[in-house]
Amino acid sequence: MPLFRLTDVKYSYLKRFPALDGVDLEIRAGESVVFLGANGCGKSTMLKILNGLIFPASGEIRAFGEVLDEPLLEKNAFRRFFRSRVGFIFQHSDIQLFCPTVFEELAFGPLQLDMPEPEVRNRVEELLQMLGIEHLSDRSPLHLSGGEKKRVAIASVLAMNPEVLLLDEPTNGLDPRTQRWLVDLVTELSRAGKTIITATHDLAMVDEIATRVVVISEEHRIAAEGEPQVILADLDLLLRANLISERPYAHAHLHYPWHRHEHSHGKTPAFHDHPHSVLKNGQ
Amino acid sequence: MIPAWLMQANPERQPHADAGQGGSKSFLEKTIHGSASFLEETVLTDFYAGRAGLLQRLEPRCKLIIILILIAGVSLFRSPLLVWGVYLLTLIFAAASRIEIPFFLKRVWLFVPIFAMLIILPALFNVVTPGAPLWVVVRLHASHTFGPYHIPAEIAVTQEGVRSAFLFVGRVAASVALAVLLTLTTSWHRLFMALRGLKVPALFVLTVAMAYRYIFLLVGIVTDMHMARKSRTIRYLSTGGEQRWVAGRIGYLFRKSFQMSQDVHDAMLSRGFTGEFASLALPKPGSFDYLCCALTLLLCCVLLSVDHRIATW
Repeated sequence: MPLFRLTDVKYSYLKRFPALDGVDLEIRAGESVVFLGANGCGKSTMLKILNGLIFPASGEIRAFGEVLDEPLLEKNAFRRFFRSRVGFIFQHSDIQLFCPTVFEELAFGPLQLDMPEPEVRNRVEELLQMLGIEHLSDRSPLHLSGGEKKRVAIASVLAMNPEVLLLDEPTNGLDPRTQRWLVDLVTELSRAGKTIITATHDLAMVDEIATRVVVISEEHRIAAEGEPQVILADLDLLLRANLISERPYAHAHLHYPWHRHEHSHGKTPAFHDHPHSVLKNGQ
Repeated sequence: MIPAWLMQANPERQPHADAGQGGSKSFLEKTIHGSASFLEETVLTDFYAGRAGLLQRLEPRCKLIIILILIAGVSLFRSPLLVWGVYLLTLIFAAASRIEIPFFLKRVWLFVPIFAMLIILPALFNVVTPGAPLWVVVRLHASHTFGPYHIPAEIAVTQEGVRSAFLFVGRVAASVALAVLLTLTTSWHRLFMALRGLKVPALFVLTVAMAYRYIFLLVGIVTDMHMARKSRTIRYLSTGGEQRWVAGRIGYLFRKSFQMSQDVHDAMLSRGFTGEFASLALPKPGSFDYLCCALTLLLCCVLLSVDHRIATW
């Protein structure tokens, strides 16, 4: 049984602006799926639907075998089950952090799960250590840097030990070192058996974190899905989905992973360089 | 290194979909729905403003003047018939401006005139408005006097009371209808330009326009914050806990808007703002616009003289 099954899902904002237009999709446990698409194609909407934050205007979403709708999530037992299993890391960490200190922020979820306080403290301390943010423990989340906020936001969700992690544009606005750290963490969590669903237009991280890529077109439909190597090698598809440009700016090609795939380098460093001619010939 | 508990599956079993009590709609849901409907209504307003109708054709400055003349007229008329006549005129304007009448009625009557009715309710009775009784509601044994207040033996709805209630509610309804017509048929951007064109101080217009622009940004932030909280809500906190959360978020929003106002001001300074706000000139009104203004003024003058004759009858 898939964890999530979407059948002909449609959604429009303010009943006027389409965000998803007939999406059929299945996500199985343990997968690491990346939704790739240009700005405004509906990636974030898809994550919100998977998290039961908004509901399809038409079509159906099933989560853990049940039809996920508002009445079901209003039931205390199912809400508790669902929210503790599916964690959402928002694009802007600011909106996600609402407790007075980082420690309390991390403790919020486990306390809601009625875990005994000593266990909560242990859990929080282990997470602080794992993410390298022990020194931020007593700080207010408001006064942290963008990278630190992202770490705290991730830790606050991991504290509930969710089975499924939804990440919305996780590398946006992060410096290269924090981006690297994030990719490594996601890979590690995926190896640990978590189901990871990421929405991004950052091609640089895709082949490292994805076992399956779903490309969403600017018409808000699924344009293609498949293994990352196959999708990233299809330049026409990426062009059509507005994920690459025919005329990338001066050194943009340095960051494009499909460039690396053309040469079958495999797990090369993220900023591996190539001359322009290689890209032009498509070798 | 990933801690052991994070590698293990959550031990809690999946409940049956039918199991458990349904909770009532939380303040999170209500806020999310509230912000969505606010945005939806705004989009709808822009949609009406973009339609090809009578009032949409008018130059915004002239339209603003016409509406102000009519509102002034409504507050000067003493005859309820004339006031309600202007209200009927707004319905005709709405239809000519391709606004659906049920939607227009809902917009106008939803809050303000209903509250006006509640306010005017005591004025119906001879306790407040003495006059010829129309309908006796309560008969007391005797009349009573409490200081300046006199309660007659028969408490009744009076002819004068009904007339003043009819006039008051009519004035409120007609004025609200005119204001709704203005906002529905004019995009906010053009309305602000019209205010500027009518010599309202530029700084005032700029401040209102920017406040309007940033309301949407802040509503977006509020919605996202509530969504983020909903995403982590397993059970609702105690009332006190929820109130603390809301208070914290209000504080955050205040800081955020304060910081944003600083940033916006810096951005304006960096683009040459010196305290004097220069804006593009509005296109000049055409003969149709002038004609409409003149007709409205004429109509109001005629109605005022009719009103005077009715009053002196």
